[in-house]
Amino acid sequence: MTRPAALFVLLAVAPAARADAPDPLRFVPPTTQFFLKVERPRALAETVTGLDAVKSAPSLGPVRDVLDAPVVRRGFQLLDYVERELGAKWPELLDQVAGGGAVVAGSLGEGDQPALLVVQGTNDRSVGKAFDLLIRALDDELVRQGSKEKIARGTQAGADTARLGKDFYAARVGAALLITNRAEMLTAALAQPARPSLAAKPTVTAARAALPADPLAWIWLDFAAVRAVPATRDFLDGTRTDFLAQMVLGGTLNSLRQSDYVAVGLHREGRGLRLAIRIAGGRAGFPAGYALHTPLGDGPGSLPLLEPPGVVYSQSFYLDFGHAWAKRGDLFTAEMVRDLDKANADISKVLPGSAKLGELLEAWGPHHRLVVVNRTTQPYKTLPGNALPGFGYVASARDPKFLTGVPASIRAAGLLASLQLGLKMTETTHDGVKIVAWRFPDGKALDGDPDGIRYNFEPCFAVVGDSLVVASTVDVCKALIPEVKRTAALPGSPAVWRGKGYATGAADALAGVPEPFITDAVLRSGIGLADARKQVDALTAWVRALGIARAELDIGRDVYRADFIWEPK
Amino acid sequence: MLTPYTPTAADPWDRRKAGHLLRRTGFGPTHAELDAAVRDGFEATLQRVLTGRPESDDFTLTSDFMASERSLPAGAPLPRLTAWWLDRMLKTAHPLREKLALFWHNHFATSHAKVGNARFMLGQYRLIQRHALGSFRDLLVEMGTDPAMMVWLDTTESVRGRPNENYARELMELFSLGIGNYTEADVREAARAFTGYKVTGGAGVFTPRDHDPTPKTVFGRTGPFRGDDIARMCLDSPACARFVVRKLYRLLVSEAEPPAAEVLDALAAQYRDSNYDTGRVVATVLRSKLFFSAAAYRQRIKPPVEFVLGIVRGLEATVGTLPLAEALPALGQVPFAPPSVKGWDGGPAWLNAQTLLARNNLALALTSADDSRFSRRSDPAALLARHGKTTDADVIDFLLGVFFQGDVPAASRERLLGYLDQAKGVRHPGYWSAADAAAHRTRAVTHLILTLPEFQLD
Repeated sequence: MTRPAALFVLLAVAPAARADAPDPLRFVPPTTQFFLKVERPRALAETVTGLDAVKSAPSLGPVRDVLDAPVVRRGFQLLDYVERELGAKWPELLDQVAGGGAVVAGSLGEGDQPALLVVQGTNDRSVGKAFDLLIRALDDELVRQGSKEKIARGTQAGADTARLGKDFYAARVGAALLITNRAEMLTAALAQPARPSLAAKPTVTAARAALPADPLAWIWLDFAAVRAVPATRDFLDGTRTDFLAQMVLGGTLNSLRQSDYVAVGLHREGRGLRLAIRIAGGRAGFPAGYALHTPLGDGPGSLPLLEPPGVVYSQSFYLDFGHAWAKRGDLFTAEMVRDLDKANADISKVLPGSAKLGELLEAWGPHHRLVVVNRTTQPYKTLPGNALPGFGYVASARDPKFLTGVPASIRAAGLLASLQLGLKMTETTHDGVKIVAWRFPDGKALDGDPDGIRYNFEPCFAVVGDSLVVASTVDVCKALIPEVKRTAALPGSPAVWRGKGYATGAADALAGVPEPFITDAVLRSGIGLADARKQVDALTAWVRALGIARAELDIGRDVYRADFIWEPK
Repeated sequence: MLTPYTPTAADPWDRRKAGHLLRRTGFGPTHAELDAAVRDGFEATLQRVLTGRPESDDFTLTSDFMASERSLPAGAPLPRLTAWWLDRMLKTAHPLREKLALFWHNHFATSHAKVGNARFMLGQYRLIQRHALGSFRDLLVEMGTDPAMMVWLDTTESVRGRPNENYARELMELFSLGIGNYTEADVREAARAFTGYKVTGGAGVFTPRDHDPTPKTVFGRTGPFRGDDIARMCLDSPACARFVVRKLYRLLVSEAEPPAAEVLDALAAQYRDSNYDTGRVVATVLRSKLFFSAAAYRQRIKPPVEFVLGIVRGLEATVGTLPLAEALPALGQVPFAPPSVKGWDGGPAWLNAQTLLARNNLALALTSADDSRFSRRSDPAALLARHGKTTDADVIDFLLGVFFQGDVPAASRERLLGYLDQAKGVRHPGYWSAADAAAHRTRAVTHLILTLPEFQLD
């Protein structure tokens, strides 16, 4: 068995924390830069194994393959063996051998860094037996592999120890097991309980307090130490004027520049799970007047999500192009500013009739929404070789000029494309809204597109109230129009970014084009066509039952909160 | 030397001959196929090899489904295309036809790396497979307008006033005549005949507007030739039959020695007189005493595809072919991706330090049941249990019977038995059962067997 497998064994064998069990963090030296702590391992294990999606997963072919994989089979075999030798089933073993919780801690940096695993039990005798069992299993595996290495037993600072080579050290201190890859880490860990615990370090307590209550597991990262590393410092400084970094991650980077920690917690959320990320840096610490990803005043961070029929994914976020244009001198490099200014001057030469870039950007509203939907209708008689889902983008307008300027630019671009690709422009009215679309000639060959990917698209746009809707097909546009109208009356959210994935939509997408998955099942696993079809049907049903996954990013005054929530059906 | 083989008491039809025939005409036999071949006799076995059995409905449905446009679109990645063909090779009821298809694929070597269109490559495979044991004449003529070939050798770029010589040159040099049997002038003139061909709607079509209709002089004849005329003129050359037969000889008989002059003459004459009927020449060779002589036995190095599929078939494994397709680059042969228009050299070129290591590692992956790509779908322990082989001697003899028909030196067999005996004393982890330990020994000795030098030979 390899050393990582030994760590896995111990984590798997670690049960729920008891209130009277000492904190495993007491062994972790203060030089540590991060740790992962499982407060209640039994609760974590039972939560995960109790999820309906996990319980039904073994019915899926690919999951069965993983469960049949050699390392997993050996793992179950080892678990059976441990249960027999220690005389208890795994949930009870979890309570005995690691009832006080488990911690994996280490430092960041290049190369092989020191790491420490601490598993705190509640029963000295059981932990002692487990330790001996682990060492014996390791020894047997070394012999089986024909290795000349031997495990050396001993004592250190009153603890039973075992050593293998130069990068495996283990010790038992009462009901606690320690495993590390460095001799000096073991020495420091054994001496640490006599000193103040890492748990009392201010950034650790602050990180724990920032997370929602009662995590099943949580991570603390010493971001002050990370920021002090020259490479990180350079990265954070360099991204201040990097165009892409600013546009995509500006808010997150501004929060990171202020924070001494990053905390991540895994929590039970109804029948599902929540992954919470907290960073101690908010808008109060942003540069004066910064409003690229966060509104300056009290306006909403994001508008309501659009959820047309067949939605697979919906996203709503804040990104102020007008602010980016107005503050381009502060946000971007001189070279980028020159490029933007040049584009501003040139765009009307390329697209006659279009407004200047700067004017468009300033008229563009800060709220954006994206959707990906399953298409139930085909826009052309010719079917594309690869069927793609439909998608749409809805932009808010800050100034009515946006709702005339951008459509004019789109029409100009459409005219150019028509000349090159033979597109035909059409106009239809739906729900009182005019939709302007362009269609490819149906059934006519086009160089560079042997798969007919173009038959997934009839690009179109429409103006709905104070929003511009751009969609990949007319049917998607038609589905978005009533959604835009419906959500216009609903309040926004302070979260500056929201996304939602719909398992029903994903399952429908899978059911719509099952052939590549069926083929993959036959060719990957050597099963027959009928079994492959059943496997894909089972996968579709399993995906459908997954419910919804949503994410929210709320950059508050002092705290950055990102949450990923899974709500099973 | 092409006298037909007839079993006699002095030269009986036996398991060794059956194994040799089934290996050369397929991708490695199973234990049951060897049993059936010996039981049914030479003539019935040869007929079965030549004509194949009808494909089962399940095979046809599955293969067609996986080759449909939604399963295998133009942009499908190469491993999926390769895996699809490997699946056919593994499961077909007519392995000789797939073996010849692979031969012609190497002859008209066309690579997906440049063609970039899985539907085109599939189309070429279908063309080749249709004529694999049929008419080389039809195959050569139709290859001129095969879309994959047209992209590969730039026929699509060849227009009046700017003829592209690539296809004309390779048609003569590599596909029909060989160097020394045409002139540069023939190539230049023939290139003009191959102008005006385009790929439209997935097919090669002739567009007169881009064609050079003026007279060309090729092989001393003058006329307003088009592409298929040139192909027919190549076929009319006496050099053509000899050129192709020499290659067929290398596939079916020996890579170590060229054919004797009288053998080459006889086979070339038959090929020409039969109007390039490939099946007939193949049958003549397979039926001959020459084929079963020392001049042919183990006189080829197994190409990677045969090496891999031979293990899978011998172990009666039910693995997917996608992991095999992903492993083949390390062994040096990827169907649908030959290294150049010359194809794979074959013979000793298959083996070097890297490829031999890759072969041994893949053999380990297929025998250890410890590799997540194959897991217990390829398990010698399960194979031997199914066949009731429990003692060490039974295990060794069964495996040597499947993979070598027993034809290994006695010392090798003794060493293998010695390994099994010594392995009984190895200490296994406490959480292993006795059955685990026994299975581990069996799997390890199977791997050793597949690393014997003789296993690299066909």
